[in-house]
Amino acid sequence: MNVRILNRCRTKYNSRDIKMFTLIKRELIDNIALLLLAAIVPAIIITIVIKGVLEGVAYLPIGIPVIMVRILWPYLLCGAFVAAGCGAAQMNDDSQRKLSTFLSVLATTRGRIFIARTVLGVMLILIMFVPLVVTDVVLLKIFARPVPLDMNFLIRSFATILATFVCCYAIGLQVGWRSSKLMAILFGVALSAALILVVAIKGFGVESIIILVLFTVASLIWTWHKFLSLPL
Amino acid sequence: MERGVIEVRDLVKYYGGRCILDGVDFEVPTGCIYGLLGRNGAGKTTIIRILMGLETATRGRTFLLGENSRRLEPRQKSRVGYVAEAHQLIQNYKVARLVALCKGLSRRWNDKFFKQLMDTFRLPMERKVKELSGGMRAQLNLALAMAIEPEVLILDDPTLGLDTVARRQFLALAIDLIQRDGRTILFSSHILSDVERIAERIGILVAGKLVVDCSLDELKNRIKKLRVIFPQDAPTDLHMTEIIRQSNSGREMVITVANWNQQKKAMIETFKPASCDEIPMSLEEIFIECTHPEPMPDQI
Amino acid sequence: MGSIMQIKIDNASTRPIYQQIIDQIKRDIALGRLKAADKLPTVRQLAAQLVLNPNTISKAYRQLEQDGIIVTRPGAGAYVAELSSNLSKSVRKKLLCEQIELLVVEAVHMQIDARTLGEWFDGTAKKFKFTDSEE
Repeated sequence: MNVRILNRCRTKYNSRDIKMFTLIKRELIDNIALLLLAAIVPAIIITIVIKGVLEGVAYLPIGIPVIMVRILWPYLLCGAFVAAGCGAAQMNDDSQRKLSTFLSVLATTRGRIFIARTVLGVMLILIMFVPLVVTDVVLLKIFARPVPLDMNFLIRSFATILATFVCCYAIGLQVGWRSSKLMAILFGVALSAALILVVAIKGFGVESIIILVLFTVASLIWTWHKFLSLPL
Repeated sequence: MERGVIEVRDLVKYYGGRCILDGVDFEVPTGCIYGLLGRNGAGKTTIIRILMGLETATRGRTFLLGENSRRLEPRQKSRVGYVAEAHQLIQNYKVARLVALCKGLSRRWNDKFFKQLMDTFRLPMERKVKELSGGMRAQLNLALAMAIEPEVLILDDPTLGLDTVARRQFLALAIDLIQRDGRTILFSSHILSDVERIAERIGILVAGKLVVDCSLDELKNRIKKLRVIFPQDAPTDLHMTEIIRQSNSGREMVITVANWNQQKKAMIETFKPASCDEIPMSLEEIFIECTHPEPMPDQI
Repeated sequence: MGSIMQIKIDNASTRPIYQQIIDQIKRDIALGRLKAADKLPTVRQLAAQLVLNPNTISKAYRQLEQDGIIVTRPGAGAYVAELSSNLSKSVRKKLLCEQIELLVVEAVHMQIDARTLGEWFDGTAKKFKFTDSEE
């Protein structure tokens, strides 16, 4: 008897969670291709790193292998464009297939649909970012360093890269809601290029990160507001 | 005063500079079946979409289950079933996946009832939504809407594309639903015989304005078509208000009047007609009179 | 008995639907298909069967009850009333004379004389077993 009451309480309590999970699951299954694409970026680059490492490791004065520094910029570029493209593709998919039109008349809110979407974005970004960190940590662990390590440099680089990915993804979401998938992705990529230019000018560091964070927040707020009020 | 389940208050909608709705105001009380009628482009779909929160009004407000349509929460939406011809569902999903999605996003789901409906409609679970015909998609939409045991059904031309049997099945479902306590239905349709069967209240939308909003019986009492025969040529100077249509032919005048009352009757009698017969009108005829400004070909 | 009534609604007719139901129930009673104390289908049953709004059925039943043609017992449903109805004779006279007047007007328009009309009347009366006896 007690178990039944407990189960009923659990169902009522879980109802919102179950719905959130349903939304996230839907987003995931529909966008599995994007996740795979996001996995390719680290895969390719890590392959390059491993190949480079097998040819011998040279160190910079700051105690970090040359190869690691050399891949930072390509990694940032590829990842940023992929993030923007994915964000744009997700939003565009919704707009074209009228997913939110269907979902919003069911027992959920536009807000939750948007959150489920960004959950996928977080997954995408982590899939791209985590391998970079892991690879570098492994490399640093494996190969003995002739000079002390400059952790600051590493942290700044990683943080900037992460912020760029997040910001580009947000931009992608922002520009995705339009009638042509191609235009959406091109727009996203173009705006990302502008952001990357900022990073190029300001370099890997706090200044870039602050700018990127501001852009991200502004972009997300704008997209959130638009998504909650546009006609479906 | 208890609020209606559906309330539309002074609704105005402009779209690209054009006025689609011009101050629409009506209410659907609990337990009522409300038929919203109007020609294509009159604004019926717009009202329904604004009610469901799919679009926003330019001015005015709408309420569904007591909550403003702009701020509908899941707890209200879980009690509303929505069926629209243009509701695309998700085209490239398999039906089974769509059903699972709806089930996961519902509060109440009557699986037994849903399976019964799928059987009755003979809908395949394994096909993709885009492979279904328009009528089958409408039926799927209806099954999904009914499975959540809604308190309110909002239907935008639900029988479009349905064959005769399917239409009858749909009507039977609607009647079955309304028999339960506290259920309400708002539906727009072009098939006026269906509306006449099941609707209690009627709203007729003409060019963004609700020209009629009353019960079906009242409507038939208010709008009268009379055939009046005069001893001499029918008068052309009948100064009566709310004449919807008038056509004179020799000694005969056929006149359609709104809000028929004693004064209007007296006015006709001042001309001392030889006879004055009422021509009963079906809902379809009333609708045509109200919405068609120019005389139809056979009346000229 | 009485749960499966054959009522047909004519969508094309301009006569209100509830009125059609009333007419057909009256007709069934007059034709002997429905006898006194027969149970009529409930509002729900008839609404489901004819696919009509239950309020329409309710309205028809209310009117029939007002005219004394059926009686509703709370909780038990609607039954055909005993034919010695509550309608006073004057009311009955008024209702029937209205119908007769319509008939005569029609006959005049169609240039049918009173004798032919009388013959046709007798024929129809026979069909309905409409005899001379009181009650």
